Amino acid sequence: MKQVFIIASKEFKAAFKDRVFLVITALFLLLSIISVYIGSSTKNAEIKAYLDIVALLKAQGATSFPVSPQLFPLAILQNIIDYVSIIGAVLAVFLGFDAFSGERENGTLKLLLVRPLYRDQLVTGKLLGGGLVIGVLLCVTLVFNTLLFSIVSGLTPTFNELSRLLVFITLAFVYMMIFYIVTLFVSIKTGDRTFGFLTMMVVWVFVSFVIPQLADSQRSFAYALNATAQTVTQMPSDTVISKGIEMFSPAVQFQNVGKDLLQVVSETAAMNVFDILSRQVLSLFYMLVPGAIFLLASYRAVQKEDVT
Amino acid sequence: MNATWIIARKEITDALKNKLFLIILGMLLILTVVSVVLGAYQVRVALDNYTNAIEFLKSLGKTELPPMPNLNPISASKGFVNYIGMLGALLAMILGNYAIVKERRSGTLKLILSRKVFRDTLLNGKLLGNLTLFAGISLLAAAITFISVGAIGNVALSAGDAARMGLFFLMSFLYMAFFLVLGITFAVMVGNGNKALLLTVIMWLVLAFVFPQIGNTMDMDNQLPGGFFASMGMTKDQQTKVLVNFKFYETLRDSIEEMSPTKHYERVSFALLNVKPGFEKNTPMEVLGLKWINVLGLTAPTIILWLIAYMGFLRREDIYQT
Amino acid sequence: MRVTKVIGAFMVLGLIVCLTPFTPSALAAGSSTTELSANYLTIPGGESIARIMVENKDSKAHHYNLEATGLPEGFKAYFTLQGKGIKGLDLSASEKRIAELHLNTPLKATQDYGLIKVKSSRDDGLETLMSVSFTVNHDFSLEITNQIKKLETLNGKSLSFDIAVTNTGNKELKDLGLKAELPYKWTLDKLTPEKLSLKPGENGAFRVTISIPPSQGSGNSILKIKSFNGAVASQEISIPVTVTATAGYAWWVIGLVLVVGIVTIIYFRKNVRR
Repeated sequence: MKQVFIIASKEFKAAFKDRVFLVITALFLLLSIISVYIGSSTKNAEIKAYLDIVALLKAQGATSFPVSPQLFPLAILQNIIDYVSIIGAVLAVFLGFDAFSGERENGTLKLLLVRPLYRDQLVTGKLLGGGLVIGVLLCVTLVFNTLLFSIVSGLTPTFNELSRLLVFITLAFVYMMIFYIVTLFVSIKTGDRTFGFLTMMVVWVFVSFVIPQLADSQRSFAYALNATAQTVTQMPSDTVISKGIEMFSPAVQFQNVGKDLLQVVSETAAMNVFDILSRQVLSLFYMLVPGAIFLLASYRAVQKEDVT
Repeated sequence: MNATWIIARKEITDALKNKLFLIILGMLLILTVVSVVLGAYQVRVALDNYTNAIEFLKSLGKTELPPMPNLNPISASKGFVNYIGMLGALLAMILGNYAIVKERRSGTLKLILSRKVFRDTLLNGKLLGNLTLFAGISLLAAAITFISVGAIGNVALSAGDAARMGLFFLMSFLYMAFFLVLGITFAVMVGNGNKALLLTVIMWLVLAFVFPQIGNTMDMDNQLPGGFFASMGMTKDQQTKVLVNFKFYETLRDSIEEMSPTKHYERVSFALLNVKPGFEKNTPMEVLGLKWINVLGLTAPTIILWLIAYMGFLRREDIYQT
Repeated sequence: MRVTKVIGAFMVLGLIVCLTPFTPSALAAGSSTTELSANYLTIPGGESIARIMVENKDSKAHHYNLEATGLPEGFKAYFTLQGKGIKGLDLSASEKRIAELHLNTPLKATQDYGLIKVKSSRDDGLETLMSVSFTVNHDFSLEITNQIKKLETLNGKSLSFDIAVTNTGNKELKDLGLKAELPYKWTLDKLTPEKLSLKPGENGAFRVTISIPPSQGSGNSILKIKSFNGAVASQEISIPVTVTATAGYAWWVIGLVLVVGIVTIIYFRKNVRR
């Protein structure tokens, strides 16, 4: 067990010494901060716009006013969902792409494996180290954003909101870990680290963009007819094909659950956390399956590693 | 000029031996076909829905009918622009990076430069070779699209549509050229090839995702499902009065979007492919005329980066390290 | 089975037109044709609504197709049920429902008086006819008379143009306003005059100033404009507007390219090409 921790702590330290990793980490933090700030000020602008509308109507002598827009506080953080699913995933790739092949290319892998260390311990250590880095990063994001959110919007999060936020951060952790695990697997399997990195970039492009877009192109656009206004509007709706395609993208599943958790969807905005999770249990399942498969595959692959 | 050609030819043969390049290229071409197939299927469904809607509206005596959904199967899927934009960009960055890094790793850069080859000639050769390659890819993708549209979608493209498609592939070529040059420039400026690649990818993230995303976030109407104003039950008149107060906000949002070549590529492509309504009646050249600023926004950064690569390469001494 | 068919044949469809839109009453139920005694008043370019009751007196459910025939040239008619457009309706046994007949009068009606027939055909072939008469009232009529073919402008700028309206009716029109439907984020800055009054045959003009947001990309958009007051509305005209992007951004970009180009040349002079 001690060995595992030694490897983990080495991974952790190495990550924060890597300048490129620091750049992308800074980018991630900066973006999440900008997004909270923009989100809050947009909401403020909307409230101002609403007040303007009411004032305008009053001036015109109206007596009934539109209802104040339903602004759910957590929705201010909604852009973080996109940032985690896009930048967060890349961050995990950056973190893990040379975790194994790096050791191999530098010749340290040989050194490690001649010591009293089981190969699975090596994988566990790497996972623990990577998990620690991602965990710390997400905790910083959580604290930063909750603070900023309270300052800009002047609200203190309630228990329900706080629990949603915690579950969301946990989910984000799991999502990024899935990418880390897959990257680790690729890193074990490929000889060249650049090749491994680029392979992961291709995977990332597919999971985050190509699959969702393919699914999107298969949504049916029913024409909704409004006879009073005599207009025709297109309403997107899921089809079997679009659902089927989406199954293969953890990013889409993460976004589905994330949107529910961060009150983006108004129907679920008032539910408690457990109801949301049980509602989205299928999405969670689809998201976790590839992670589990690659986790097992990584442990298997490392046993076959030829060190001579 | 001769030296340039020799280097260019070498680039092409090298690329065709590169496993990763071939894999991504294969994916790109397969996706092209898949998106046309799915697009064609979707068009059939959409067309049925549309015909029903139109019959209904005509029965109401309406003369102003909603615009016909795009019959062009490729433009039916907005994603098509993105597949090319994304995988193409990735491909371009990889080739750009490899072009310099492989020579440096194998020590051949030293050999080439010890001959009568100017440094800028070397860069030109590299660029020319890769651009030829991308021109080939664009042509291939275009050919595949044209053939599958005819074979699968059963839609005959009119001359205007074909010209629009051709221009779209030209824009895709320019877009890939930008990322190619980005890859080369970073590889020249940053000594460590791996680091250069990572930095190129980060730059791509910022330009292609972060900037457009920030622009999106700042669009007020995007922030509520169904649109902010619709949810307020506002009439158009009232909207207008409220919008007057947000002019500065709009300008800021717009300037952020202007910095992203991806956004420019998207704008001009969507106009060419009729994804964005309002360009149906223009001739292909008129669309380009209207969107010339976007074409400029797509090409100018490439030129600037290229000049920077020239300057960077001229005085680099660590080129001689193996 | 046979018995019901025989009974069904004796059951008659009721088709009733209600005179006032808000009080549908069962006029002449059971008769196959109902002549409408009252007259519908319409104005040029306007729409009037007749409420029609369709009753299924059979013991089985039936589908009824509705059709308006004998429309004078330029007139248009359609049916709605609870605000939704329909071509026919399904009625269960002994059910009755009220559909609305919308009659659109063209701006330049060829005739001032007319009679149209509403035909309902049941799925088993039973047909019922009913007449609706109308008179076109020329007291109030308004027309937008100028024909702007196309407008061109730059983004971030404002645009002014005139819209001329003519009172083509027999009575004075007071407090005419203008309604412009603009693309998203465009704003109506100024409208002079805000209100206009026109005597019969008189012309007037509105000066419209709109501004186009800087974020509007170049392309074509459509403005929809109509004039109206409490009694009458003109037809809606569509004016295409072509927006071209301002070159401000372009100058910056071109300038930057030139600067970097010059720097490169100087750099190469200083450091000798090698």
